[in-house]
Amino acid sequence: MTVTTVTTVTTNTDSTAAQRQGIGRRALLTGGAAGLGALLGVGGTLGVRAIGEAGAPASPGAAAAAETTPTAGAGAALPGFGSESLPCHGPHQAGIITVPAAHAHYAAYTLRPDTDAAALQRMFRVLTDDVEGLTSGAGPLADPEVELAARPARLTITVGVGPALVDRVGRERPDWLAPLPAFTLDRLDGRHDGGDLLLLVQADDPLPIAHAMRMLNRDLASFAEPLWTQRGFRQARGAEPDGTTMRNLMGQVDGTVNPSPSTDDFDELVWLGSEADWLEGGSAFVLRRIRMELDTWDMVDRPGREETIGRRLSDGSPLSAPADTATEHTAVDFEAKNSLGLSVISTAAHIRRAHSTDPSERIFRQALNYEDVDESGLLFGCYQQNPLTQFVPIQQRLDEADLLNEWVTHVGSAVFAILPGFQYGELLGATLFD
Amino acid sequence: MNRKHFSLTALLIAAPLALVGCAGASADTTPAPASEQRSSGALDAATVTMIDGWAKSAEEGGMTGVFGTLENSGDEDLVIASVESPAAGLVELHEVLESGTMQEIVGDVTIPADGALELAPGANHIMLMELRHNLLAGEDVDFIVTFTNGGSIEVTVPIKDYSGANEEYGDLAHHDHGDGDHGDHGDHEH
Repeated sequence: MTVTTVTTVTTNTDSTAAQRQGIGRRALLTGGAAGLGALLGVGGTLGVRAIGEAGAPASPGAAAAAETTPTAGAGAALPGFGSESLPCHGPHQAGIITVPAAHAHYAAYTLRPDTDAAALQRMFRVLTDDVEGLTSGAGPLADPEVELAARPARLTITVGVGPALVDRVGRERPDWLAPLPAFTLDRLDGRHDGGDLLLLVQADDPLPIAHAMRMLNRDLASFAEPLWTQRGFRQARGAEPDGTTMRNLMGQVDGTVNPSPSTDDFDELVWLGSEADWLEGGSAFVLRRIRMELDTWDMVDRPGREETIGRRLSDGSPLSAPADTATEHTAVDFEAKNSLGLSVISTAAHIRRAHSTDPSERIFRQALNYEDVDESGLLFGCYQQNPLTQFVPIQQRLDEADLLNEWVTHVGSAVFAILPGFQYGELLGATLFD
Repeated sequence: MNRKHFSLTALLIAAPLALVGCAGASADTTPAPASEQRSSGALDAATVTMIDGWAKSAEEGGMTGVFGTLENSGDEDLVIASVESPAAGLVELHEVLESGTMQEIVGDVTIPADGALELAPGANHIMLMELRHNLLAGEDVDFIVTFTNGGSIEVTVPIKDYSGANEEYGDLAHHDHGDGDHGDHGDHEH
């Protein structure tokens, strides 16, 4: 008797299709088990959409939800934004221009001495699977707590590299990929500076962030050692209408002037092009830890607080425009004078010093508040093509004169090259090894 | 079982093996040679796919487990005859007893038709032993599963660092008990 078995070649695509089918089956069963809750969830979503179409304001969180797909983990049909997965693939990494998440965790690492280019390639293979599995909700390979991955709540993992990692793989290091020039008012504490590898993990729920960090730290342990971590937060998801500019812990509307990803010149401000070789599609990232001296800020009354910035505390509108008609986005008139002939926007007001007449001196900022046991402040992150020509001139002006300097101190500083995006089937960081 | 395989890894490279021979294949009566089957659309082909496969990193000379789900989308049960790996001097299919002791499975290991065989830490798994080199996280390891009907598949899975999957061996690793018939293993660590 002749016995034959024909096995078929399974490609990535076929495998994915099979998996999607499996996920679909599982999701359906879960939905059925969830019963009334799931049905209510669906009804609620439809209701929101109907109201939105009728012209009423969208439900807070709708803009964030619009970018997502259902989790590939268990419970995709369950209600709640925990089910939302933000795709990690694309020309750029997720977590930069996506709707800002409520929580973020920065983690920097130092490579182990024996982590050479070959080991780094292995590390990025592991990282790639982790990013895909954690953000999709399916869970990465060998995840012992896969249930904690199943509800990612729009989890993103954004990966950047420092100068030492670039050197180890033998790629050309851009001149800006180095510690920033020292500013006179910097008081770097030595505990939040630099690093060889950066992970930025964000989500609308801190639980999947904690799980992702545990998984990533486990998988990185044989390649790198933790250097520092910094946790930040914005307002909780749904607490404010979509698109609301965040407030910092000094109470100010913080980040009104920020280029929108939908504007024409955004790409040339933020995304690196073909001239950047292995960084094409990536970005240059600066993270500054800015401590707030809230005890002395408490001594300042509202007029003084508003003059310091040049904007009203109530709505962030510029002091140069009438309070009853101006909004946060009213253009600032730096020439406006009061009845005494003095500048309405103080000559050393923060917004005047931060403002540049050179449109290329702009950055895309993504700031978060932080609050530790003994310190509060702002994790000021910004993306650009070149920190030396974009962030540094702005910070030099602020370092020279800014009323706000009385109450803020830069205590941490780091620069990373944010890697280009990647597609399914590709290695995150592949261009490091071409 | 979830999705998934490592990026850049074709998980399963299949080798349609044409096989002659009938040992232990009583369930199968397929008469046609493989080539014909393939050209005729493989109506009765058996397809085995490894889903979410991975191996635990380990050092040369040691041993480690391979985990994942072997899916059989065909319409015949497939009984594993052997597993081999270029990375290991010896490969066995292991089960973990309620006591936590690991031992080689006695009897047939079957991937049921239109079914799956789950391999997981703390449960059934493929054990790679007498490793010929280090298995480093982020690399791949290959192995070949041969079925009693003569068919076989070659599988490539990625390696990950993992702290679990530390079951004891009933017949190999109980040197702490010092009672025994395996006294020559008394100073081995693994």
